[in-house]
Amino acid sequence: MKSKIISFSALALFVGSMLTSCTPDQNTVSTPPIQIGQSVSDASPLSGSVKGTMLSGKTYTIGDDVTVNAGDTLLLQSGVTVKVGRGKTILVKGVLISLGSKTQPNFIGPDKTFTKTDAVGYSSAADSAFIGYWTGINCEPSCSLLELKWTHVDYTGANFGATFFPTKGKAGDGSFGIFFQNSTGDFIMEDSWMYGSIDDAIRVSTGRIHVMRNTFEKCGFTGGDGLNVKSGSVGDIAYNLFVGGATNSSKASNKGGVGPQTNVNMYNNTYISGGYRQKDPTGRGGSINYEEGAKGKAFNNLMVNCRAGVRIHNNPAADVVNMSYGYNYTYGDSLRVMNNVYPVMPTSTVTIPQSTDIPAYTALLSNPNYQQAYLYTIVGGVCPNIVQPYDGSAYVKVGNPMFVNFQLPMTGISRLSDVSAVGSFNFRLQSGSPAIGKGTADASKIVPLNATLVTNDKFKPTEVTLPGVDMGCYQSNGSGNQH
Amino acid sequence: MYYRFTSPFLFIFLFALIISNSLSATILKGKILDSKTNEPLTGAIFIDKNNAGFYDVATLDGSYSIKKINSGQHTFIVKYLGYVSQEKKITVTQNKDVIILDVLLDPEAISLNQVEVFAQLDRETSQSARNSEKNADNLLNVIPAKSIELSPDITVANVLQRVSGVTVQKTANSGEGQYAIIRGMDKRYNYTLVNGIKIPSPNDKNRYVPMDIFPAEIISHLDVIKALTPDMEGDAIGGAMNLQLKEAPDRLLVNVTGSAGYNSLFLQRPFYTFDKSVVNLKSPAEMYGTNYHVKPTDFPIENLKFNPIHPFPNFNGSFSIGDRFFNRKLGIILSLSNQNSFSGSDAFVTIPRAQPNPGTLPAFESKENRTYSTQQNRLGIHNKIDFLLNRNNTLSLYNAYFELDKYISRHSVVTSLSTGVGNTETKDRSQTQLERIYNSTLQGKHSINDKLFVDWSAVYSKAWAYRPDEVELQSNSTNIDSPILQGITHKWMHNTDQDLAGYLNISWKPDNLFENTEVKAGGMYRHKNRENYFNEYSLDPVFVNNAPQLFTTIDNAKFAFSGYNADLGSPVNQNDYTVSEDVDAFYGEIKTKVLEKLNILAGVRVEQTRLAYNTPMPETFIGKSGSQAYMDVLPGMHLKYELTKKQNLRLSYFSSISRPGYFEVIPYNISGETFDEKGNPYLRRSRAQNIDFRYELFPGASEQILAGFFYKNIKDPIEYSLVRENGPSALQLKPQNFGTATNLGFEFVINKYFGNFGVSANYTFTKSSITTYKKTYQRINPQDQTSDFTTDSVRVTRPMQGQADHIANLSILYKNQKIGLDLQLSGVYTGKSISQVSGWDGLDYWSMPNTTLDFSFQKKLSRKINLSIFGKARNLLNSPAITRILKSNDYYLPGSLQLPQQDSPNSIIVQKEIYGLSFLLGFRYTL
Repeated sequence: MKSKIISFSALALFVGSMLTSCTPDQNTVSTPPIQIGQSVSDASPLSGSVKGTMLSGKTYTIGDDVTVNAGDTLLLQSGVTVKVGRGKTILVKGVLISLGSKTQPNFIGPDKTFTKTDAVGYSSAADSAFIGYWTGINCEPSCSLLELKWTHVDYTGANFGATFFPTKGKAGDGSFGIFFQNSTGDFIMEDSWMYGSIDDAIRVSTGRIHVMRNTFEKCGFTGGDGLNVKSGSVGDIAYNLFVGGATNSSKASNKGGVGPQTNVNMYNNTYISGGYRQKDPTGRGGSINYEEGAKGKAFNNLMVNCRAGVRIHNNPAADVVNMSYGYNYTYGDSLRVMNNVYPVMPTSTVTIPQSTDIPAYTALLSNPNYQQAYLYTIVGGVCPNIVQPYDGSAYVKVGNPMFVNFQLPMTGISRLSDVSAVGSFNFRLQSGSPAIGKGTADASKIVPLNATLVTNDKFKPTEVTLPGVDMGCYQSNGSGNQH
Repeated sequence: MYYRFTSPFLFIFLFALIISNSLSATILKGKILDSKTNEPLTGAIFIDKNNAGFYDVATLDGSYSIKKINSGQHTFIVKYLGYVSQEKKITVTQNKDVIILDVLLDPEAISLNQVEVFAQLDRETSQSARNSEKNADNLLNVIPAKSIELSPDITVANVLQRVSGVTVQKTANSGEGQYAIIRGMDKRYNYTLVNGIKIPSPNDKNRYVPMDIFPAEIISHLDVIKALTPDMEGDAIGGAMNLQLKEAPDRLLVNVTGSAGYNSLFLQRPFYTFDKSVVNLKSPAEMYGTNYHVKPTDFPIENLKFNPIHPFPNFNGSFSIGDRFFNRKLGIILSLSNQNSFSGSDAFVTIPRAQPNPGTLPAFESKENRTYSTQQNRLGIHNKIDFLLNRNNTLSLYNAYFELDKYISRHSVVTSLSTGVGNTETKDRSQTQLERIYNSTLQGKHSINDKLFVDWSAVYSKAWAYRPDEVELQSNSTNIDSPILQGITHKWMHNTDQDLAGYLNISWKPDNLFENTEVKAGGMYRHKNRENYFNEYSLDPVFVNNAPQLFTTIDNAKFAFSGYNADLGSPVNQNDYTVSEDVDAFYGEIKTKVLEKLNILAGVRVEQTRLAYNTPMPETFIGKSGSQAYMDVLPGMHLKYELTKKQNLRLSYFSSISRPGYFEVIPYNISGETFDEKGNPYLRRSRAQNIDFRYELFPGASEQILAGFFYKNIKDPIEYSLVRENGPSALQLKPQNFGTATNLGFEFVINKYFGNFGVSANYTFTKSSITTYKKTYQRINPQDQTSDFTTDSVRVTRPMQGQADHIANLSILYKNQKIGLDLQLSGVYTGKSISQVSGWDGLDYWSMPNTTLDFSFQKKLSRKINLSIFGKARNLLNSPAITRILKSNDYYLPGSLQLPQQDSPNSIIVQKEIYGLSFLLGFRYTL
């Protein structure tokens, strides 16, 4: 049975690489643009309830807060620009679908143009990314589907104003970039971009998720995660690029008592300089984080100069006995980074060093204090034996993953935290990169959960990208992240 | 620790020393009693007409004794205020050791009809208190002013804890009693009257009145009414507290007291003050308009600078003057009381995590060591004017104003017990809390003829509370030397509650037709307006050089608003609200003697309630406005069977309600001390059926023995429970109805005097039960480690919040009238009770049993002028207030580095507060 799966996935991999590495025949048949209901008028700024279709090529202005009512759908064809007024909200009680495309992405952002200040080392206090211009896409528990394809969601994080805010919120509350909270609903986000937020860029209180091949930049101002999912969240976070997240870039927790146990796979993500913009840096992580009863699998991730590596939290403890992880690749320019591949105090963890990790901390692999029997001892729901400091000096600046355009070791900058956006960098791997081929596509180790239940072919995930053997979100065969 | 062990013993020793002096043989002795009631006349003087050196003063049981009387003829005068003096001639012969002579004094005849006006002096004594209890139609406990004066207590809240079946909840920041729980029924089930009139509360959420706002010195007597009659407002299930304020005396009376004291806490550590003068009463949005974009510099920082001082002594002063004019027809009294105190507490507190560990095991976010420094200034002013128009008509006007200002500094050191375990946060909070209550009542009493009586009251009352600029500065660190500045929140809250009310009672006493019968009917109407304001501004620390800002001093700290709109605060939210409530009620009752010894009072009361609230929330907000209307028919019957002149058997039944707090029915959403707090617009009133049975024996004037049972059945009791409705990270405290609860118990009270000694003791056993759903968190199959974690519910029966199983009071009194000395040692034992209901199974917070001991004395300094020295010493045991979760977690066993203070493998100490001893010494002068 097992060998069957392996051979099948090997076949799939072979077919997959054949499809992408060879130049395929071009055969494009146009399909009519998808339209639901009436088209939305772009004649005057929108406010109140909206539904129907925003047409390709048009620009819509949200002059005041808008609501997609329960039972209604708002669909954005490709090439739609939505400009949101300062402090305004998109509230979704029904369904919101944004079908951007690679050639015609959609933009949901401010009604004002900001110059991106992505220069390395630019002061975060002055950075326009942290203006917190509008209050984001807020889905109420009745929202059954939020789908974003090839869509930019920029400059979120305003506080809710006096006249409009989600149920149970209040004026003055801070906002997330995207807020989803339906344990029987689907949140699909593919090939999209999140740029600039004050708190978490995406908060999934509960829901079935599919978050693949996106780019997250400058998420969280003085705290906050890129993607923070809580109890009842099940699905995959894969092939995403996270640059300069304030705290964790991707985090899973089972806090909440809603829906099934949180079970999230995080594979083939790339994390650059995460975790440095925390006003309270006393205990939090800096890349991947599992805590408080969450379980899942974390493989093939590439972490460069992050404040902390994969963090399996001891208290409140992740569901440690049902976690698996390995084949994660870390590069660090400083000793502090390489001493936190398996994070140590104050970021307390019980992350077990894996022989498949790169670099493999060989001294720790044979040390009983870094093994499952010791670290996964559970007392009163807590793992009291945490990872103790170790010496990572042998691995500083070792194993440069050789990005296409991002010099390592970093030079001419004063802090690892100075990198917070992609800008002109290119985090694809050069052909000679030591990160190529070091991951695993072994289905016995990691397969997508593929948890979303959308049945309509038009709105299903475009692609559930299987784990890839090249570390991080860019595969040398061209699959993975397409940005 | 030194105080804890030595002081009580020292006091007991002194106590014993002082009283041993007076134990010696006597020659002439007896009792001085009221000729009609046979009650002892404590304080009556027995004096040799020709030799003033030979005298004695009647003790608590009325006895006197005079030693070493020479043989021969003697004339003694026996006198007592309000009684006709008598002369007694005695011949003493050499061989007679003991002469026993009892004296019966006749009360002075009272000329006017209005007995009430002239009987007031007596009302402040314990004799009259016992009489009230004995003669009342319903169940009553009375504490008179004289007892309060002699007690260790300085606020009404502290006095209340001496009453049987009453426990008092203490505030964490000073250890002062604040709210009363009567017979295990939480504060919400009780109401407060001033001179029989219900007063509004300055509490920002609820109806109940903080009892620490009332200085004890201003009242004439305090009644705790445990069974409601139909002429009383029907919204108490535990009981009603009535503060009867002092009334105009029948002659010029001037009373001055002054005292000073200290709290032992500040001998060991400093008191922290902040600059109160910079605190703006109004929020920036109120000052500059709701569209004003606030700048970080708009907030003062001086209230975040905490200066250690050794505070001035606590000061208490009171002044009262009263007299009657125009042929005693006009009576005026003015009383004033001011108390300024510095108190505080040292507290260990744990913050529970919103979600427990698997197995529903206790889990904690952090532990905190908090030091509170609380300055309190309490002011009470009261004035009553009564005017006897003629024999049949009196008018009175009284005004009362109470003010309690609290300035609280809190310094906390927080150690994380979860994320970033071991890291510390330092928090410094300043709070200003100003509370006021004003009441003005115009009252008339009219005798239409000798059978028909009418009384009415017109009432205006208002209560205010301000909590301006509550702010906390926080810095976090892994290394204590380089703390990192955290965000800051400024909050403004204020509320007003205004009542306009009218009461009318008509009673008909057809004495010639039916003896001892009274038919009474009446009604009341009250219109209430309540307004609440809330605003908060949250600022984040500014990053310096793309790195978190190190904290040095508040002067250097730089904050900024994050995100658009943040600088508007939260000017419009559901915490801003207005409520109007109209209550009208009508009742009819009949009181009669059905058999020779059986008194019956029966009647029915109908109360109609209409409440409407409004918030400035957008129309899309569910619960922007709402209303509730309901009517209650509340029957009651009270039987009193006079076994003998001194014994009663009582059986009471009454039906009553308890309305939800005004704020509780608003769908509010605020962040509280530990959890966010949330309103419930679907909350219903609680309805109760109450039965009481009591045996009473009044052996002597100030003496009593009471024993009774009670049973209550409460439909829709309201309790706070944790819910999770606003996303996963926040548990919220929300008031909810919980099916039907029952509460039963037993009460025993004894007041007994032996010569100069007295014992006052009471004991109450209470057992309530309420069944609610609680959550559990564990694997679906706990044996299978690969099965999923799941959240489930179980039904759990527990006592009601605040109900202690055992409550006991014991006071030992010594009263030597001759030398003018009073001593009192009072202890209170309160058994364990749930202080905080948890939404999780087994994780309730329990207040553990607690014993407090207080001591007071008073000594007359002169026989010529009425000057006394008095002292009060409180909390002699310095007993810590301990709260536990009665479930263990192996991770937090005793000795664990994680959680200090632990002493048991079966429970976890989650809070521990120490308040220190406080002493007060002063003088009292009465003209």
